[in-house]
Amino acid sequence: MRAGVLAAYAVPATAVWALLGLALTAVPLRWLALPLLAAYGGYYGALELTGRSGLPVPGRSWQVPQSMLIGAPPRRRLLVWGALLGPGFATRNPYAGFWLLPAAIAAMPGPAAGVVLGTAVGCAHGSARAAALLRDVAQTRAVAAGVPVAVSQDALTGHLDALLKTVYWRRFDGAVLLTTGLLAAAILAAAALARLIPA
Amino acid sequence: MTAWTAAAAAGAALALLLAVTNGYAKSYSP
Repeated sequence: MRAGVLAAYAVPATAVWALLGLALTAVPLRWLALPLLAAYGGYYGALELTGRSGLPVPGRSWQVPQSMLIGAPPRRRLLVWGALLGPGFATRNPYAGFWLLPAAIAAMPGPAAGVVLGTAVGCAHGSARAAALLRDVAQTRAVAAGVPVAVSQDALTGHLDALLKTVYWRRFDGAVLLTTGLLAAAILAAAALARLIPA
Repeated sequence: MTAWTAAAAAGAALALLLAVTNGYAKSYSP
């Protein structure tokens, strides 16, 4: 069961992102990706880190339609969920960090590095998404079986707990975004200086 | 390893961290 869920999410995610890695680096887009990383990482990183509201996080609000799942056998349902949610493009992404990933791949020096990072990103995102699902299933089962678990069980504290975790994840996402943005800005500045002062 | 390679490796590591956390944290979103 665990290996099946992991594979259903990680395999399509790895395939989609590996192809994207090739597509984004086959044509040199670094000149576009680096300023984009600096601007996007700087803006959304600062926003998420300080907890302010600004421009909405890019993305779509599409959700997997019930018609695709109703009446489908469990195995096919898992395949549909895995193929749509594993790569991460189809549904809403609550944190801005996700849309930095294609730009980070486009900033890689050449197709080999692009495919390696794309494959790693897809595998990491799909596996992490599956791991979160397995964690939720395990918690729900433990609560249903009456096993004491380290999660709040009544609705209000459960909701507040989830809300608090969202705040923490958002702040963490912001810190990594800002670091990436600053790194991209530093690379741009260094490249400009290297051109000004030839060795 | 040149400075450019080191910078690309650091960027790739940060991107991987974002990929893991964005995948894992999604189920907490309201």
